[in-house]
Parts: sequence; C-alpha cells; structure tokens
Amino acid sequence: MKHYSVGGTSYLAKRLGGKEKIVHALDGVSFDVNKDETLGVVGESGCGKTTLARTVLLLTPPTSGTILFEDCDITKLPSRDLRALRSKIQIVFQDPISSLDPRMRVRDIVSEPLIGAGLRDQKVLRERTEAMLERVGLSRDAMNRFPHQFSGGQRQRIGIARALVCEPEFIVLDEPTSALDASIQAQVLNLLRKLRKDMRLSSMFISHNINVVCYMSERIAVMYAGEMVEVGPTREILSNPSHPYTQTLLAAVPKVDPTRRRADTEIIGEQPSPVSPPSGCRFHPRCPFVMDKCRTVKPDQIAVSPNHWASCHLLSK
Amino acid sequence: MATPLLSLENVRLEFGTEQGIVHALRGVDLTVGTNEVVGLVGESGCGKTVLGLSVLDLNPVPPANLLPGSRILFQGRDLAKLPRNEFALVRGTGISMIFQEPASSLNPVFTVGDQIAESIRLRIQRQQNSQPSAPLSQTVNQEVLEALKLVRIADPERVARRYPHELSGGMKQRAMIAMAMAAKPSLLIADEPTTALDVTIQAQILRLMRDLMKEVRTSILFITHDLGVIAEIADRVAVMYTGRIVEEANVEELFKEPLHPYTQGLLASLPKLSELDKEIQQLPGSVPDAINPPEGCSFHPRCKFAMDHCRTKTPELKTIKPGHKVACHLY
Repeated sequence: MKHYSVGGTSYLAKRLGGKEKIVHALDGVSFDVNKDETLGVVGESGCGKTTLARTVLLLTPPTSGTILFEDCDITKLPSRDLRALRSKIQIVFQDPISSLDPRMRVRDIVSEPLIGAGLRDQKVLRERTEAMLERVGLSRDAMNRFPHQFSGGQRQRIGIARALVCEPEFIVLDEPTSALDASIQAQVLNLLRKLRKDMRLSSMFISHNINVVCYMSERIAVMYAGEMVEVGPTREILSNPSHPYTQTLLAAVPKVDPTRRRADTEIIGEQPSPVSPPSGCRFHPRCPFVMDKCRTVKPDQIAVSPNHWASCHLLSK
Repeated sequence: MATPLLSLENVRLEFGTEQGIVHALRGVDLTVGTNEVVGLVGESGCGKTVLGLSVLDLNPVPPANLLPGSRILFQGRDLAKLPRNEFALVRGTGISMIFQEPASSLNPVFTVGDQIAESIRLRIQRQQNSQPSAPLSQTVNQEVLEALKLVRIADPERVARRYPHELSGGMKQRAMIAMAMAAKPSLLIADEPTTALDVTIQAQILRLMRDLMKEVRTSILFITHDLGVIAEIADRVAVMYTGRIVEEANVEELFKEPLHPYTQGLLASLPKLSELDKEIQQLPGSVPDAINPPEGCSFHPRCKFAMDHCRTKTPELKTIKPGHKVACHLY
C-alpha cells in the first residue's frame, strides 16, 4: 500500500542578481514509500536530497508536481488542514546543534509539537514528554536542561524524541547520523531501527553514506543532479546496480577491508551545476558507456525487474 | 635499522582552558618510515588532529603546552632544538600539511596560483637566504604550473588564475595538495583530507595521493576517523583513544585481528554492505571528557572485558605479535 507518493515533483529555484538563473534542484522526481517501509535516498552533495526532504514535507513547497499522503494531495491542502497533518509527518535534521533552539529547555523542545497539535493539559504534556525521552534513552533529568549541556549523540536523541512525540506515521530522516562519531552513530541507528519497528513508522532515510543507507533501508533511491536515476530493493541495487552512476558510486565507496581495495578505475569529473545541467542524460559527460543518444535524449525509467528501475538508454536495448 | 623519517617519543601536550587542563596527548610514541602511509585513526577528541599539528608546531602556544620529555624527531633531528630559520625550512620542504576543509584553508582573496607561489617563493628565499629577484618570478611561475600538473589538473594556467570560490571541492583539495607538494616534501601530514568531499571525489583524491606517494616518494601520516578510508590507503595503522595510542598494526592485521576492545568495538559498529542482515554492535557510553579522563585505562567504563586493575593501572603499549602493538591488560 502506498503511504507516500510523489509524482513529477520539481523544485526550481530562481536565483536573482544580474541575470535570472534557474536552479534545477529537483526535476520531475517521482517515487513511492510504502507503509512500514524505509526508503533510502542516497546521492552526493548537490544532488537535491535535502531539497527533497524539505519539499516532501512541504517545508519548501514544490514548484510543480503532486505529493500524496494516504491518497490526499497535500500540495492542495488549505493551510489549516496542512497544519493538522503535521503531527503525522515529521522530520529529524542532520545538525544536532542548529536544529535545537539553544534557548529552550529540552522539555519545551520535545513538547512543542504536542502543543502545536492542540494538546494543552500540562500533566499529559509532561508525561508524554518524559515517556518519549525515556524511549530515546535519555533520563528524566534531561527535561530541565539546555541543548548545549548534551553531547552530539544525545542532542540527536532529543531531535528524534521531538519528531516522534506526536506519534507520527511517516518521518523523514535527513542525514541523522552524519555529524556523529562512528560509535555513537551505531547507537543512534539501532535506536532508530527499534523505534520504527515499535511505532510502525514509514520513513525516508537520506544520507550520502551508502553503508548507512543500505543498513537502514529496504528500498533505495539514487539521486543525481536533481533527478532520481535508479530505485529498487536494497539487495538488488547492491547486487545488480543498473545505472552507470550507481555503479560508479558503489565502486567509489571504501570497503572496510584492506584486502578488497578498489581496482583503480578512473572516476572522472564532478557533479554538474544545478544551474545549467547537461542536456539529455545528466550523467552523460561522466559516463563510461556514453552513446550519442545520451547527449540529447533524456532516458525514461526502464524496468530492470518488477520493483527495480533505472533511467538509462543502455537498458532499453 | 634505518632512521625513521618521523619519530614521536612520549609526546605529551596539554591545553589550558577555563574549565581546566585538557590532556590532549598523554604519551604518544609513533614512527613513520620512508615510503609508507601511516593511518592515524580515532573519533573526535582523541587527539589525532592535535598530534598532526604538533609535528609542525602549529598548536597555538598558549593555550597549548608541549610537556618536557616530549620529542619530535624528523630525519633524526630533534625539531624543538632546531634554530628558527632551519625549522622554517622544514615546514613545506621536509614536512607539509593539508587540512580537512579546503574552503577555509585557502585564502579567498588570492588566486590559487598566487597562493601556491607564496609557499614556493618563501622556500626559495629561505634556501637561498636572499630576496627574490626578477628571474625568480619565472622560476616560481613554472613551479606553480608543475605543482598543478602534479595533482592532475588538466588546465593549470587557467586554474592558477582562479579564486578558491570558483573551484569545486575536489579542485580546491587538489590545489591544497599542489601547495603542499610543490616542494616535494618527504612527509605529508594529511588531516581528514577527504572527509568533506563526496565519495566519488574522495576516491579520486585518494588515488591521487597514492600515485603522488610513489612518484615523489613522500610518506603520508593520514589522519581520519573513517576506517574505510584507512583500509583503502594505509600501510600501517595506529588507533588513538583519549590522547594515547591503544593499538598499532599493519593494516591487514588490524582489520583481520583487532586486539584492543576499542578497535574491535569500532569495527563492529560500522554498517557493512556485505553484512546487511546483522545488527551492528554498538559500543556503550561515549568518549570521555578530556579534562578528567577515567583513571587507569581510559576505556574501562565502556569495556566489556574490564577487570579490576584496568581501573587503576594504565596499560602500556606492548608488542604482542611481530608488528602488532596493543595497550590492554588482557594481553
């Protein structure tokens, strides 16, 4: 069952100052997230994944396209209804420092979404806040403290508590562990796995770290230059990466095993500027398999197997 | 035995802060030989960056304070005992350093070419003990272009005229490497050089560094928190925890048979593509406060094998197998 369905969504920002330029942050992105599933979104900086996170929650409304949450197009909701929906869809941000208001105590940070959802009873607010803090592994005396009194990992737990206190159905996790040390990352990832199982959450897990995304997600979407280029079940993407960019990405990831050092395949070039992306397939300037067609014609989404597609002309033979 | 290129002996360094004294380095012994990459790995706060900066005396004094008994030897010479002008020559010529964020390490108001030229000019001046003369500018410009070609920049004349903000992250990092390698130093200290880069760019830069190592015969002290990168590039690895080295081994040995519980915990906590079914093991607790690190073995509060004397006696770094040292009472 589709929980979250995004269709042909674009976010084209206008950059002013001198000549008006268009930043193709997201271009025609379509995907679904099913109930009780985590869709991982992976890509390098500038591919549009953070814009995607914000757009999907309408923190930044898309310039075109549809976003269906449980079959309701949220881009067309009046603001009152959208506000009511916010307790069902939440987000955990990357930076544990800037995502928490330094002048608010933890209890106020975590109970704020409940107040936003209309809860006023002080006793219930306190109980639910305490319960949520305990669930993320923080003790009750965290309630009266300020964010700066906590470590990065603990702050991230506070951010998670804030996102989950309203018992949402869907959460977006935008690089939730990228700012954390490896040993703390492990704690937070395992916590997230437990919570999403206990609370039956659907989620979108965004990260540039492929190992982490694959560990946390049943399905993966690969983004490049504002577009999704391949989507499929995690194991299939790993065993049969079909888009040349996915192959490049997987080949570039350092393996935690010195006996399996990468063969020195030369990876050329860098991601294109979102202001003037290449014509045709945006990956063509860097693609080892580039054909003439790739320079002019944008590839369609081509099925590799029932749940797995990639947009590459190589697959349409 | 040949003199190691770099030898750190009992290096202890503190920082005076308002909250108390931060014991950043608590007795580090480490060597780097010719033609090798030594990886220095650890999480934030373990002291790895401070150690890298100490070699070139780049920690601001005060608040930093290198304690007596610490020795840093480069090609057999004690750097602390060198006269200032000779030490100035070591920087950039014998030992060079590159940093994590190329955007903040490059001066935004000078072109890349000017910045590389600056270090070349300084070196020539110091070597010749003289002021630059007219024909020198040509030599300098030539060396700038050669440095840029060394880092595989395709259009060095054009890139030399660019300002840092006009270059991508990967290009900026190449420019920084060009600056560091212009004098073909014997040792390059690289502090998290690829952490801020995308993974495909990281792969390019790591490959470049490996090639340069062979071409220029430069050893590298590669500092990072990323064990994957270490596995890619290092020959030998030293693991740091709260200002001490807790394990040291050649790279294959470390990954195959890590001895220290911290190293084991760190490796087990990484998600691996080849083992997606298993839940990753998490290390309990968090990295201790550097002002008041736990007594005895600082890892004991998080260690599942902790014994009584781990709480009181600091274990020494001992050789357990040929080429493999560990500081742990289990051995």
